Amino acid sequence: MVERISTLQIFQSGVSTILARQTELARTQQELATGRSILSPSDDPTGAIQILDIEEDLRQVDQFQRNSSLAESQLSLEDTTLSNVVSVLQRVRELTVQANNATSGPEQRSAIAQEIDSRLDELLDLANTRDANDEFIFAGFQATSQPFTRSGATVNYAGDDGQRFVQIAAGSQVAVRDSGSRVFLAVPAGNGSFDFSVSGNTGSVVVDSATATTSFIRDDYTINFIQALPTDPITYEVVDSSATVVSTGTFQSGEAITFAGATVVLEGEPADGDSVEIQSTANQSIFETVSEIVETLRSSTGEEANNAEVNNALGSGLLNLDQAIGNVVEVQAEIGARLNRIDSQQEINSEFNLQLQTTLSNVQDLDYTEAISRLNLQLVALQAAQQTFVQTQSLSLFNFI
Amino acid sequence: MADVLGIGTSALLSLQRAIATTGQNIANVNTEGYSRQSVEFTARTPRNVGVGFIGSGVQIRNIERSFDQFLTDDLRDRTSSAAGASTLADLTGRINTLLADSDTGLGPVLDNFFAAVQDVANNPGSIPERQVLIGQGQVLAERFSFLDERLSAFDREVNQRLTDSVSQINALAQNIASLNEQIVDAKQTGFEPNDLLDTRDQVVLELAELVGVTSVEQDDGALNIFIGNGQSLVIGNSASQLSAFTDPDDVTRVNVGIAGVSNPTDVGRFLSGGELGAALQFRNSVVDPARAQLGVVAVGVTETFNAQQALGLDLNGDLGGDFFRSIEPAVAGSAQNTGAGIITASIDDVSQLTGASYTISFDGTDYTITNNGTNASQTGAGPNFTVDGVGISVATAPAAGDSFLIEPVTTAAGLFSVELSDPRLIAAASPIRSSASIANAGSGELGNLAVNSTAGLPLPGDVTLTFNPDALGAGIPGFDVVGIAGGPIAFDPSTDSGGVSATLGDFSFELTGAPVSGDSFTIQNNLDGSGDNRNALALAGIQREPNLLGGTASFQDAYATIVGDVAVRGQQASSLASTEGAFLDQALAARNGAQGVNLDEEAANLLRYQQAYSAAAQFIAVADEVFQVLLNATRR
Repeated sequence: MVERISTLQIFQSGVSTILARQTELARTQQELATGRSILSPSDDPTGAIQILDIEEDLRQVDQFQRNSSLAESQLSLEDTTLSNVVSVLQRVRELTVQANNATSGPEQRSAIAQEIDSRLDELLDLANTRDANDEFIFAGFQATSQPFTRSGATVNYAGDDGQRFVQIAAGSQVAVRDSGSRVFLAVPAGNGSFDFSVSGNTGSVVVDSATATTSFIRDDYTINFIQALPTDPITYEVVDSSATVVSTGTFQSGEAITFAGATVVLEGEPADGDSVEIQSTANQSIFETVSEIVETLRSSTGEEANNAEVNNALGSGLLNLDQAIGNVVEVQAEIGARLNRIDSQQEINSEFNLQLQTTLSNVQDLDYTEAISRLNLQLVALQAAQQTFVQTQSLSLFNFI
Repeated sequence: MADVLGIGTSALLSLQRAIATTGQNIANVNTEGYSRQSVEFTARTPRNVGVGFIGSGVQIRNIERSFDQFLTDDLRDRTSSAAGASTLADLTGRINTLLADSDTGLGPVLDNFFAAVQDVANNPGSIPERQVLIGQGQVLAERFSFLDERLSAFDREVNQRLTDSVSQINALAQNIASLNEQIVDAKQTGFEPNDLLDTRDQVVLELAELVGVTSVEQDDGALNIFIGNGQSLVIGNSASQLSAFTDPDDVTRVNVGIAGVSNPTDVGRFLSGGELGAALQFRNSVVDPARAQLGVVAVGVTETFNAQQALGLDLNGDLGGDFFRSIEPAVAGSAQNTGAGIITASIDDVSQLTGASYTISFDGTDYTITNNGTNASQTGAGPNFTVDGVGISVATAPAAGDSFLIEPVTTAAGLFSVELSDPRLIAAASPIRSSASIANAGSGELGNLAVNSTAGLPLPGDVTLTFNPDALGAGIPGFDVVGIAGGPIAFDPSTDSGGVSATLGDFSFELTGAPVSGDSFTIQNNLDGSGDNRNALALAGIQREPNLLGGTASFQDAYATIVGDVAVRGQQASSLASTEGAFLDQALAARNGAQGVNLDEEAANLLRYQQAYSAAAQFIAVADEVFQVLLNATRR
């Protein structure tokens, strides 16, 4: 039996072939017009979800980049402020060294005290620095109220320990501020382990250096000098807070006295009954350190015993100033490390951004070469379908009857 | 002689009919569903003339249509499948572009919202950033409700399609029933009413476009039509009527039932194929899940963001209130309920939400809660149940036999809205803060202070932790705690300097480093903490946390799941549509090949009959001549 085909079928299949070719052509034309290979998620569900994910990541990376530049500008402000703090402290140090000079008399010291006092105000202004949003950058969380206020010789801190972080990458936050207590208050006094003070001495003993090892036993100590007769050698004994003698020996000016992990070098001639107090230290604020120096300078009378006391106090003050500068520089180093981290994160972010853009382009962008040759092929196919349709439609046996 | 003429005329008459049939075929070359007809010639009964039988001409035994039951049935099935697939592909394609387009999808606005949270974290004390966050929250709410509205518009379209299809089905069923009657009558004559049969086949084909059908032909020629799982639509000359009725459990949707029953039951779930089946399938497998999943995201954002907001402190120093308006699950009693029961539902755990709806029914003693998607159920006396993170409580017992539909998230996306209007009320700060004493000499630190609950906040007084080498007895170091119960906390600097996590009351923290005796830390209420952004960072962190779908998906992931599901459905539907389209073309070609008219064939037949007709006419002329010869011979 011969396979039959109905005339209607010839017509219909011819038309539907043309329609199918036209649909394909329209699709390719639309792809070319939009430049995308995925016109609807159902074209490529996996690709569509990938696009959603990538677009989300791109927007997040943008946000992280914005956060990073914000963090950068905040940290730069803090860094600049802290550099100013360091130069003020260094000026104070120079002045203190100058005042500590043996040639400095009471008038000169008083004049220096005046200058240092005005430097204290400058420090205070720096500690109350505000950022572009009018927030105090050293106030912890209480950023809208002024953290540092001065009344006479004392400076009070009204802020807290709060530290602000900014998100610079998924799962990575960087601190953009440091609290006033971290920068200005929590500064170890003395050499970091202990401080010393001398008062009421009649001799001229002066602390030349004081160092501590890590095995320093925290306690308050007193170095007492004993000279029963003027002809006797001067001896010393070191007692701790519970009056237990921890070390004794003969005093030699410039020779180290070692006890409980501490090494103290004293110079000058102590008198019988003189003493040097060694206090294991707490922290001391930068303002207190500077204020103490001012007080000391103002108390200078020029008498010899007073000179030793002033020299001792300024020596201790210098130690404290070094600690203060060290503390601020340490914070600056942290800021530098954070800025480095932000820099490298920004680099990572922009690289990630580029990578995402590339992937996005691979997923959704059209391969023009392929699409244009496809378009040409489809044009030929459509023309063929149209021509054959017309030709076959004109065939009929009735034409020959 | 009369025999000879009789043979000639019978040939002429038969051939005229054959030519007429060919004409009919040519006339109907473009008629959908027309079956080619052909005449069957047969020799008339011969006569015994004593020396044998002699033929007495030709007659038409029957006019037959070329008909193949198998091909017709196949075409009908293919028509149902193809119409269904193409409707589904069309509908799914439209929903597809809606969800994934960056102008209409949820992704970009969700990201923008959390970007605004980041900006608040970057500058917690600033009002403009907070204002922008509220604005972005409103944009998010608008997008949620836009998507929900578009999805429910699809629901309404399905309702309309069902109503239209049902009335068309009813009309076609009526038509088939009356054709059945005519065909049965016509068959009484013993002949096939070809054109009526063609018409009926064509009407059944139109019906199949709307819904999948099966048919059985009775002996008397009537065709019985069944839909769904054997529900009769046409029996002989009587047709049942379908009805599109409002779902008693959910007044927003239309179901398909059998008309003339007082409480119509939903037969929709048994129907498949055709445009009606596709509309139902689209609703059940595309729109409803997408809308419910969108609701899961909406509830997820609301609940998670509000929960974190509640753990923070706003610019006025108060604990955070709701940022988004809380969305309660919808509970609706069936219209057929007889009692006055009250059932309440609440969202207990967003990570467990599935998007399913539940039916709770009461049999007089026990309640049965059924997941309407999976049909999983649990039974108990109640009154409190938890299912998939949804808490269900019986507030007032219903009457036996009553049921309630609980839709925890179905309409949630449409209800999503921003509660907060005052930017100061965004809780960017954390309610407590810690500080180390300035006098601390050791390197100990207290960090990662986090609030787990606000029940005990604000703190009645400062909490102080002081390091004591003998806190837990002689030689056992730790922190003495003053101001709250729970101390002392063991901490040995020689082994624990890497960090020890501790919890006191409602907050937790980490102790690190090497404190020395007397070092102390204070935890206190965070007064005036306008520069604190800890809770804002936590709010921003929610964006990427896997809080949904069993703790596996972030909001964006959950949304991408919806887009992916719909996209896969769309891909399946369009590939099915093209496959089914090809099958339909094949079935149509096969049926048309067997039954359709071919003009060239008809032309050949026409020539054949025309030649035979000429021959028969010539034969009569010859007979006449022979007769004349005889007449002339006898005319003397």
